[in-house]
Amino acid sequence: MTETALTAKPATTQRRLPADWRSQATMSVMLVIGAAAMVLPFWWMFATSLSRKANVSMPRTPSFWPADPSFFNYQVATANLPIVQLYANSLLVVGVTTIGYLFFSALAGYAFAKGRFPGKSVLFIIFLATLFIPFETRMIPLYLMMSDLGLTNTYWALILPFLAGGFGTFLMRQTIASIPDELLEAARIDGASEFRIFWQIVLPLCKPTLATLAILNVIWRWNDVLWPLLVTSKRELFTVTQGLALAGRTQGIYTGVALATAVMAILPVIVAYLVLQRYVIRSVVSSGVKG
Amino acid sequence: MKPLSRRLLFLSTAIVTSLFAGVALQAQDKVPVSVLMIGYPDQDSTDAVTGVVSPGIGHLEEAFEAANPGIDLQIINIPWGEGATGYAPKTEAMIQGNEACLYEMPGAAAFARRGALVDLSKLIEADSSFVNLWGPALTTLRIWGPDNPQGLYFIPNNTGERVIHWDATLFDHYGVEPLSKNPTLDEIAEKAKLLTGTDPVTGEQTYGYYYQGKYAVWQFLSIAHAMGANWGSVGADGKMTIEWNTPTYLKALEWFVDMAKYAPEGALASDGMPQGFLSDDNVVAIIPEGEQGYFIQPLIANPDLQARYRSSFNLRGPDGVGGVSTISPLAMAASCENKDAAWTALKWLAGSADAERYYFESNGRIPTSSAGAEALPQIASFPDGDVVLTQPQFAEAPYPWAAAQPRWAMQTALEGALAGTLTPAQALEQAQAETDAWLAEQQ
Amino acid sequence: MTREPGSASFPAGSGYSTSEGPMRRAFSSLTRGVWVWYTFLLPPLLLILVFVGYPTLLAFRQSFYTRTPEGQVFAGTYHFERLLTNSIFWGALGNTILLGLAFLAIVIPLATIFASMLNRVRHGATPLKVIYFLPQLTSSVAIAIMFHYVFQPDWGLLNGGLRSIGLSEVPLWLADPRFNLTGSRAAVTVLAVWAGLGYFIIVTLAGLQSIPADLYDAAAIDGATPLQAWFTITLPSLRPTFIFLIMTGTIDALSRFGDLWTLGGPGGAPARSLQSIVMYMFQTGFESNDFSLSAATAVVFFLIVLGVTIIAFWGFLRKEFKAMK
Repeated sequence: MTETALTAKPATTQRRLPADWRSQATMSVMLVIGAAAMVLPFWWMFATSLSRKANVSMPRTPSFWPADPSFFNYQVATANLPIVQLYANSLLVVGVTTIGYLFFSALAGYAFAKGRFPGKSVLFIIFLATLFIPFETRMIPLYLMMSDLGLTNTYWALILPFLAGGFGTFLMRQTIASIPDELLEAARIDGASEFRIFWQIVLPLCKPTLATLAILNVIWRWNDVLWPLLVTSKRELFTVTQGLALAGRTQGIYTGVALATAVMAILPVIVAYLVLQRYVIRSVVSSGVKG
Repeated sequence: MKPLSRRLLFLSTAIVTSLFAGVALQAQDKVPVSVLMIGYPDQDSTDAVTGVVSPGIGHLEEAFEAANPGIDLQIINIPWGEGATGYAPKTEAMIQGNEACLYEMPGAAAFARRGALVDLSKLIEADSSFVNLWGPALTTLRIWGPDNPQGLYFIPNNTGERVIHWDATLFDHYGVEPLSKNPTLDEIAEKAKLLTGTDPVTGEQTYGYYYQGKYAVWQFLSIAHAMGANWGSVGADGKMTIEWNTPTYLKALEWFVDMAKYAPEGALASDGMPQGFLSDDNVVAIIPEGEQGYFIQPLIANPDLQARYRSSFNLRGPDGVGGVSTISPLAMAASCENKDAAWTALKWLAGSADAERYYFESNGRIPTSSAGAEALPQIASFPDGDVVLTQPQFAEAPYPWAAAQPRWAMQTALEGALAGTLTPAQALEQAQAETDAWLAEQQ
Repeated sequence: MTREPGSASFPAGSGYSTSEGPMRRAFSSLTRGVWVWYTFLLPPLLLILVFVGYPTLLAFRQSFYTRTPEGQVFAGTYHFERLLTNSIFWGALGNTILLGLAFLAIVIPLATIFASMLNRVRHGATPLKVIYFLPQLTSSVAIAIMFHYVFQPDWGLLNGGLRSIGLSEVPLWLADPRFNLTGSRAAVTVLAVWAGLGYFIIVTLAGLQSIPADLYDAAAIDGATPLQAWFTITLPSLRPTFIFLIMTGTIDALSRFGDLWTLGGPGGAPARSLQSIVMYMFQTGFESNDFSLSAATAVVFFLIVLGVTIIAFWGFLRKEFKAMK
């Protein structure tokens, strides 16, 4: 079947070949080489994670399929790291912070977009100012504060600092400002409370922006490692990325196990990305902020 | 949720009440001794990889009370933790509140300086039945305290350990005499050079020497110590003086940089043992400052490996000791009320075969006392069992700056010297300057 | 903008007649119109003040104080003097800038070339975009662990590949702290380009698609080849995109931490060749317990980022942002 297709092809394609086929072909080849360079390390990592022998010695010439494929390293990795617990922690932290971040951003964004009250511009500047304070600047005092409050080694420490932020508030304000006032006025005349207007009219109209914010926040929080490293030292509270960072350093001698751990940490993100890729790429581009 | 937690509360109250009642009845004639221990499993737990059961701390308490029926040992087991929830603030709080008699105390030197600990050398003098099970360690570990400038404020109850690993098979392939039990720097240098090249049997490239790049500082310090170098001291006021920039350190660094040429090219980037260690593919012959504790289980499990992967004593200095100390110090609080019973308990916890076996089985810690051979016959039967079991007694005194800037300063300078971006002299100068800047900020 | 925002919030109610009367309604609308917004703002505002504002003030305060057993002692600008005369700090700052510049100098031309090809290629652009973007979603820690093995000198993927094509002298990568093209800095730059390329491609692609097609038609009529058009039309039109990428890329590069920390520890081993300014902050704070020096670093870091942001906004981006929209 393939042979007939191959022999049949030149005759038909030659006729239809566009004028710029040479440049098209060159570009395709270069793009595919580039894509291969992107995928190759991922593939090599996955292949090596299946090799039990990789734990004691790696082949001096790289191999892209192990001679001894097995899930042994995954068994060891899951036994050494409470991987289910890590996922649960990450899901909890990412879930709660995302819901909180979306809710508070939208709430403040609504107030700034549609509210009329004294001190609005001062308050808005306060929110915006947080955009210019790098997390790294306040990280150590924030840690000391958490430790004074006795919140280190609790989920609170991983969640509370990320529930509200200037970026989300700004993005939501921009979106909500574009909602026509008449829509809201009509609801006010019907006697709806501001919160009900917010909840039933404003939020549904902001779904695309909320989705963008949610995706960004999930990427940030899932991949964050600096803050969890500071505030939690109990294994029961580690996030996936943190567990990976620490396992990578302590299990340095067990290459196969370290790579199996890395595969387990990034696989859910990659699967989610492949399903949602259209939205993810759009979100990152439209906001101009990377993960 | 609520009814359940209320029920649990009730249940735990009932248990605690009955426990107290039981203790009160039982302990009438028993002397209570409380001890703070750090990082042991609370309960029995099975390791999913090796299938080995890590015994809970209760086993230690039972074994103790079986051996010492007159004493009621109360163990308070806390996790290492970190920062505000770590062992250090907890220890401080317990010392302030007189909450325990004995302490596993990583920061013992600072407490001794404050006068919070008992000078154990006085108890030893008064104890006619005392037998030294810890070898030279009881001399090495003396530190300054207000009542004795050369006081013994703690005895190690267990330790990690550093030895010199060597691959007997590679020695055999090259026809090089096996490494001696107490190798000198000259012997290592000479044999490492002979063992670097193409293996006459397998045809593989082999390397005579190895160092873990990310932890090069420990190997360097034991080399320097073997040459007679001394990093400095802690004064009576607790002020440290540190001297890196000396001719002896320079000689040691030149030796180290020279030997690094016989190690695999990537050693500087490594943070563990070489590829193939403990397998048939090993290509590194001599590994000074090898971390025995991490590899003891595979060796026990596989007697063939014991014959190939051998251990020699760490490098020793003119003082007869050498190698970084990774001990866990056990100390007695000055506020302890039952000092006699506490002394008995301390000797047992730091010296008995039962205790040493427990530390090994629960956390893989190596015995510090000469009861180790009795406690762990599976190690004693190694070709180098005596090395593995007695090396801890010959470790250097712990470095008080082991987790502070002087360590990072020296480590970074070493990396420069090993990579060739700094000459050995420049490296020591840089380490000294950064250490001095740090010392100047210490109160 | 409005001097009396409260009065403007109830125009709709005034003409609406109910049994309660317009006055009463206007009053409740007024109070509702003001207080409800404050109740909306209060929770997020509190969160921001407590978890952003207060610790930032503490960082500034700590940089002027020294922690002693007796409490905080005012130290004036002592810690800043210490910091600015500290060669480790300058090394870390220099590293951060060098790594950032090397990254941007490579990734922007590369991304422009790839984006231009993706923009013109007729088949497979979408799946290729997805693949190029993949590392962007992967945590920097996982990428660093992967590249630790890629760059391992003795048996890593890259050197293994080089050996298998016959090279006997292979680079040392992460074991070489020198300023060269085969050392640790080069390795982490390759890592950063690999990881960041997708994002730069996607943003550049968006910029390319906003260039009006008639510009190209006009060039084609003038007889320009596609390559000539690329140089005379595409590149100049991408100016706002480039400025945007340089600015955001600079801020990201300044706060680089996760990958370097995983590869080199807080000290940026070997020989601090990989130590970034945030890693220096981390090390002085948590390994040397010198919180004042760490806070002074944080303040200097803040000023640098603020400076870059202000330049970006007032120098270039204010106009360009409008142009992009």
